[in-house]
Amino acid sequence: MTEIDRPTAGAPSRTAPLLAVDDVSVAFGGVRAVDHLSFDVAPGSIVGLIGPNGAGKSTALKVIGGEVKPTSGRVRFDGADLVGAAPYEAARRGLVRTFQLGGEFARLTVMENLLVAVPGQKGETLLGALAGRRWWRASQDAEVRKARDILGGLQLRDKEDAYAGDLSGGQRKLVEIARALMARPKMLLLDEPMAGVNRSLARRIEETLARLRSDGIALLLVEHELGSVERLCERVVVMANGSKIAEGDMTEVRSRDDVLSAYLGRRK
Amino acid sequence: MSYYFTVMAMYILIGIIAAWGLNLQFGETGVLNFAYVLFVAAGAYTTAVLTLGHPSASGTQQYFWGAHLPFPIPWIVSMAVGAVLGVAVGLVSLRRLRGDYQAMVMLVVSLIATYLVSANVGFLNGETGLALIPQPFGNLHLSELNYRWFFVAVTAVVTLLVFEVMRRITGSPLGRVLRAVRENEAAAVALGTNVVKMRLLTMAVGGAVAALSGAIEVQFIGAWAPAGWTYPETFGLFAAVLVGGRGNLGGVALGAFLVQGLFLEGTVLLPSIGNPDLVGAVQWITMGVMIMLFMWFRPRGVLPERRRRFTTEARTRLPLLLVRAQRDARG
Repeated sequence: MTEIDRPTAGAPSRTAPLLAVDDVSVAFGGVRAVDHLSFDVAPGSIVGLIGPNGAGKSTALKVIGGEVKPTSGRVRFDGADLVGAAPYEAARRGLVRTFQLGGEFARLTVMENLLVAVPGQKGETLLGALAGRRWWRASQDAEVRKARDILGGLQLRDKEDAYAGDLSGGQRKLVEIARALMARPKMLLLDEPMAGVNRSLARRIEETLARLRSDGIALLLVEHELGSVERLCERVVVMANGSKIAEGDMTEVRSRDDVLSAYLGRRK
Repeated sequence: MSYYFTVMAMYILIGIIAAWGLNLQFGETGVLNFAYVLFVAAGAYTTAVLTLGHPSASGTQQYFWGAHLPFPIPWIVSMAVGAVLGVAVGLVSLRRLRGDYQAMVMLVVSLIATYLVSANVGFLNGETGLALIPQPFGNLHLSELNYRWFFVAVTAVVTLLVFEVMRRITGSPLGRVLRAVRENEAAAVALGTNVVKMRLLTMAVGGAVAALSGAIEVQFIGAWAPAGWTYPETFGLFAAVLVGGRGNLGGVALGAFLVQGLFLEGTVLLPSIGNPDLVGAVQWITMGVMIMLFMWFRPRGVLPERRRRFTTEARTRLPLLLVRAQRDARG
């Protein structure tokens, strides 16, 4: 580890981290997918998690999101330990993830995709549903209006009645981001939001993510498109073979030989 | 002939109620409950023992306990039993297992239950089953045919009530979450949905509705035995949901009508040729072929799940327009 690796999990700000990944390891049989990974994310910041294919980024994201239990280590979010908690707890605490592929509810409309994400809706319990439309209609209308605002910001307003499964790959990624916003997140975990997306949609996603940061939402971005990472992230964590090999800003990180060697396949 | 129509009407209505319960589990939430007929049986047996009276007063029939409760208590208790059983079967099969394995566990649970009830004569009279189950509304002093039509009418009212409950659930934010669980479990969890809780909820509600259909049926026909709730019966209800259109209450009702009314009862009208078991075989062959054909060529059924649109602006604008019109009229 060198100076920019920040051995104390690399917290750049003085405020308490929103997300703290502390010495997390994940082993599948004899394979260590994640090996003693530590880093943290401050409130309202954008951190990139990059590395070559098979580096363990997506597994790390699944651990943070509660989908995979780590073999050892801790994940704390907003003061609460997420390891051992039910997988849905992370989202309820404000940590919402998107998926690399197929994260949409295909046979639900775009609007329904967004409304599903609203936490604690009226009419979402059995009694609330049985109480009838009058009980939950007003609150749903308010959420529909909010969803239309979000869709308008992403230029998807005309797609609200389309089935999410009928959209293009890029539009689905936008729907996922829009849906995550309906969940009122403190932080988003984004798994390759730009992958397989045409340039104009990728630009739109990038602008959206930049806007989220200014709205105070922290982002952890797993992405192969390094140009976007450089433009968006003030700090990146580089993984290779399950371990963190570097951490710092993009300019620092990309000049390092070990990063170039691992990430770009260059030899020292 | 009128007598036959009452039987047909009852089977269709009971089939619709049962198919709606399965639709909530399978059509809306994606739970492949291959033990569904078990809940129908639970309701039937519960109503039977709650109306037959004490076992000592029931001649040669053996059952573990009995009471003689008035309508509608046996039906209500049956629904409660169906709900509790739904949660119990759900806890066994839905946690820690993926969808296909869940379905296998449920099928096994259904088989075990049938064998247990058949083998244990002292529990619910074994393979012979229970008979001479009293019918409700006995003090109405109607002719037999009028009584049967009255029973049909009561069942129709119950069917409407079940429809309203299902409509409220499936049309609400709860229904939307259930469909999200069906479409993408991982994404639903990532948005904070307790997927197991949602599935248990549909197991409870669907179990209660299935039990209600069994309770009604057993009091109409007056008998119930393990041969009437073997696991293929579950697939008859799946056929109704698949043919009609999973996720569409009207479609599922149409499917139940087609399956119960045309394919099951229709084959009974076939001329008796060859082996006497031929009709039964034709029923199941028809059902199997129908399921396959629909899954190949029309997987969303005759009436597919409808697209849900949100019309808040139009609805909120209308009263405003009326207010403006009144204001303009006043000058």
